[in-house]
Amino acid sequence: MNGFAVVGDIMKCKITKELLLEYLDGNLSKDQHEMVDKHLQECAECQAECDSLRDSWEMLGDYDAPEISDQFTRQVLQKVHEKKGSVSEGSLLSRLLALLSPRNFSTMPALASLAILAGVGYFLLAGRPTGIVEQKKPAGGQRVEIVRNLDDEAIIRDLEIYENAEILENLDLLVDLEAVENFDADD
Amino acid sequence: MHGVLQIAYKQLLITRYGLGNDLEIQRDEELMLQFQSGDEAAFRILVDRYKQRIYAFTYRFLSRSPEAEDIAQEVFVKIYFARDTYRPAAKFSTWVYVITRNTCLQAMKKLGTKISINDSSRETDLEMLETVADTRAESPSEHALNDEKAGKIVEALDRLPESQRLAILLRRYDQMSYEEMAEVMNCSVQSVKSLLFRGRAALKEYLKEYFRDES
Repeated sequence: MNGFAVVGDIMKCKITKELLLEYLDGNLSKDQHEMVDKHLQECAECQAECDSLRDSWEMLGDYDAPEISDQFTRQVLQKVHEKKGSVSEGSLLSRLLALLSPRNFSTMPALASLAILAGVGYFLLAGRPTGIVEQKKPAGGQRVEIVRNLDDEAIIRDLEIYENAEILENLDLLVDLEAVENFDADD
Repeated sequence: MHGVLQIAYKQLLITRYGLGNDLEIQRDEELMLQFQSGDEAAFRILVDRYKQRIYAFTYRFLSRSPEAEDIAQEVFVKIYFARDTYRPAAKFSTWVYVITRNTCLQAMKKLGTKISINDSSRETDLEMLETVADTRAESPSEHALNDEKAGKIVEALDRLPESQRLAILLRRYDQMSYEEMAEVMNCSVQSVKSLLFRGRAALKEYLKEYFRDES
């Protein structure tokens, strides 16, 4: 900015209006400030514009906000406390969900191994006598009988003995067959 | 282990700032570091320091909405839970105003249309505000609230686009520099100047009639 020496009146007004805010804020260089000052003394229109801008800015000072409630800080802390509570309640579920999220690919093999182990363990344990015995009869139309009471243990034992006796009978048969076969071979 | 190191680092920063134990005289940034290290008393002091300023901002930005106090409280709740995102290099007040601006904009979306000064519910809102804050005695601020001049200003500010209103409020009531405003508003210093220029020019036009009446 080289001053107003080389520009016409309209241009002077245009430049002044562009600089007015910075002028009012005190952000202009000394030279620019003096230049605007000088033009304002000469131009009533720019001076009126400057006054309106200054007045409206000052008028904003009459817009007060009410005093804050005395309970404000206490209420903020209460809200923080409430939110903390809800965060910790949701945290277990959210942690589990987070583990399963695609972002945690690194945990996937561990989770998969855990699931397989749990599955295998379940099937192994399910095979052990736990007092719950399911006796299925393959014949069609016959209902499945389930023994749920531990008092029926004697019956279960008898059934087991009965089954084992069957196996033993079969075993005897096999031994006999083997003996016959061996006898034939010896011949 | 990482958390322990982080706390130790923050303690080191606090010591470097040359802190005493008197929280009341500490700088905002120092208090924020204390708070990040787990000192909740530092948070309470920050709330006390900023509550009036933040409430005044939400009150004016949301055109005297009765929700303004709730939203100001929400700002501090957000600060509490976002404490780890604060970096000591940033000015605390700027960080707080970024959160405040975002909270206000979210609230405006949630609340839908703004409450206009000409709205007939204005008086009801005001009465409700007074009933809720029953501990508040009638103050000069409340007189100003009913003052015709204040009403005229609210009306004029209401007519400005959000970005211009934000620029005017930060500059006029929070005395922020252009650089700070640019950070809060997430734009360049040049844009801030441009918004202020247009906002002030519009305000001058809206309030011109008032000056004419006054003179």
